Amino acid sequence: MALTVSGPPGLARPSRGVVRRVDLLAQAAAIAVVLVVLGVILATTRYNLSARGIQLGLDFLVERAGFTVAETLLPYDPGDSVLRAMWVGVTNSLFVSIVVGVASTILGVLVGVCRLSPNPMVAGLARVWVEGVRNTPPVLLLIFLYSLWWQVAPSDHAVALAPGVLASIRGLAVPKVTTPWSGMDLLLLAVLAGGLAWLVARPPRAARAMPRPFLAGAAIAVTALAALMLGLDGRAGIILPRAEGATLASGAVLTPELFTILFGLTLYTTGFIAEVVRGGIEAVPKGQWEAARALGLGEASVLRLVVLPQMLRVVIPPMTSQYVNIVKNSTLALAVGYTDFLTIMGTIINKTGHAIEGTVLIVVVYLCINLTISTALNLYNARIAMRGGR
Amino acid sequence: MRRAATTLLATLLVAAMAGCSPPTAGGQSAVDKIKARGQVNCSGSQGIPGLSRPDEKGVWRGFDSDICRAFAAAVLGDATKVQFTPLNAAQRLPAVQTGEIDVLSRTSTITFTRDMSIRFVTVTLYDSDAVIVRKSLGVTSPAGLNGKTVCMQGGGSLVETALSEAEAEYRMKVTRVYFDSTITARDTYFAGRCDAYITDGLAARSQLATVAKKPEDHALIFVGSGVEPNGIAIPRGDDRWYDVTRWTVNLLIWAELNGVTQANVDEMAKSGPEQVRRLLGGDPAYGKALGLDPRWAYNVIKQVGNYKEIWNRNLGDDTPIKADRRLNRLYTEGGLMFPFPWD
Repeated sequence: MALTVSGPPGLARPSRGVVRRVDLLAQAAAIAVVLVVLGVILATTRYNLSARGIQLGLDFLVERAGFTVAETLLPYDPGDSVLRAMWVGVTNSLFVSIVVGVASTILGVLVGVCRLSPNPMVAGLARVWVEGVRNTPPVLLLIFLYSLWWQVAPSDHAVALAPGVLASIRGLAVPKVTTPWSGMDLLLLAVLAGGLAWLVARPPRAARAMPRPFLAGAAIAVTALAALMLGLDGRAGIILPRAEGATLASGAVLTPELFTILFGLTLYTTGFIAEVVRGGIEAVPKGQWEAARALGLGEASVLRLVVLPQMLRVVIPPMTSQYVNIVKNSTLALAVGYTDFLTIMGTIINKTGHAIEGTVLIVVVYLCINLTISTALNLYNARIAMRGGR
Repeated sequence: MRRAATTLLATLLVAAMAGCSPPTAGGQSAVDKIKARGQVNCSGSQGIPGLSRPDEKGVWRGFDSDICRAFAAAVLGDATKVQFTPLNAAQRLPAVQTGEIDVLSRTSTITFTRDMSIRFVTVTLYDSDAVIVRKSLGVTSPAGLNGKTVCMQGGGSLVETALSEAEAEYRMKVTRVYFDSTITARDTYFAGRCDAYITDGLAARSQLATVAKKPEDHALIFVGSGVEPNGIAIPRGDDRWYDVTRWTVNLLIWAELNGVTQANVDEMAKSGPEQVRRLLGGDPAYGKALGLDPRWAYNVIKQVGNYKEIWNRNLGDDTPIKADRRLNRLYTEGGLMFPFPWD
């Protein structure tokens, strides 16, 4: 090797400088090899693609989609563009992920706490739940629940599960509440209320002299006025569910497909979150419990004020991966007939023949969603993490 | 030093792994690949009796499957050398594009967009779109489906277009429930989740005949334009494979028209009309032009039969499906099937 050795000869180990240079050389070589390999892959792919007559490009995104989607949150028509269809799919997937995320977090905390209950019945049931779902493939659970629906729900009429709740093989109907506000109005109002609440919590310097209750009252008044103005032309009401045979004719109808994916994934994820929560609680030193009890706090207060806040620090990283898993598992909707992003992309690929671009888009979209979740939770984690020696 | 060594080792490993997957020869025809491999890779469906479905022994049976066997007989001289891969509607085009299968023979309608991404070779049968509906609903025409729930396969299958057309034509609206497999869609319909189930006409007939517990409780309604030209497809840019597949299907129809059957093919090859004798091996020019054995046509008919035999074996009166050949009859019998001349 043409390396200049800076140290005196006869040294048992090469000097630091030499080591560093060899390291650098090796790394440069590694990068070069990786680049060459990537280049070869790219060239081969391009060669094979042209040999098979496949042309790459994203032009198809603006073409007419031309297919229908069964259930959508956003208005959608087959005449819309492929890009619009993709967006409809993303919102459908996000909807499932968010509902499952919220529901399984609440349930998971409850079940996790129950796992530690001194009552053997409660702890045992929680354990059955956790072990049951942790050791079965989620797709099996979903298909089981979905076929259970066909077997149990009546196919020729609807049954009232509770006043105002009807169930049949066609789905679950609950009373539909119509507000005088459109979805956009509600979003605007929520943003307004959120902004004002933040201002009240941290008033700007000019308003700092004013009493808090006055500020809060003003904020509520502004929001109420905005709500009134936006809702003047609408009507509020409740539409009760009604059935014609097994068909659910009115009310808010949850199809068996959507119900299965929401219920099944919540059931599944709750099992994992419960374990994370249990681990988190057990990670809080016993002394903390004893100290809190010594202060005279009740069991519920000990949990709420002392243990859960400390647990949060431990559970955020594993919870992040649970939330990411929810988004990934939402693709199992395919198995039970709910149209999520992956299903829509499958249709797009089949209709347009752009398999490579379609697959890359699938990866990109799920990466974006999951990286956003990870980044947000990591930021939160950094904020609540214990600092220094405190 | 140690770290440097590790890095080098890792690099070498990556390089070695890359070397293990040599670039596939894109210019090679599927015909050569099939000969080298000793088998034809063909598509299967998710299980439609009469078209393509594995039987109790795991052997794929059906019209579409037998078309694949004809290709194996033509290229390899052995109709059994076919590997079937079950594919759903969304998987089939990429499977052809990437070369995972050599030929797509699985209830695929020939359309412009599809033909731009894979290469459709020829029509193998003319199908239609049909809705299976419970008789108790009293629906007798597509218009009666207004407000009803329809189970169907998603993934851009052509029945969806037919349903949309019917909606526009009769100014109605149906609720759709999509599944990734037409089999799941069928099962959910039979369980009562939907009022109706829409699929291809032949598939609908076969599902009613073979799967429905009480076929008399269900009715068939035809929707859409009435004709779905189903064809076989191969990757684009492979003229040799195109020749073989196109003329093998042609052979099946030609054989029916000329009365060449599995039973009489030996006799026909010896003492049939001149044109028949030439094609069945008397004139090696056919095989030579296609790059096949001189007896390729004989092998196909001997091992698989002609078009009519394939139809009768899988869909005809000897089967529970008892499908009407309608447009799939020979042109001499009022259908649309005719062979191109072998001149």
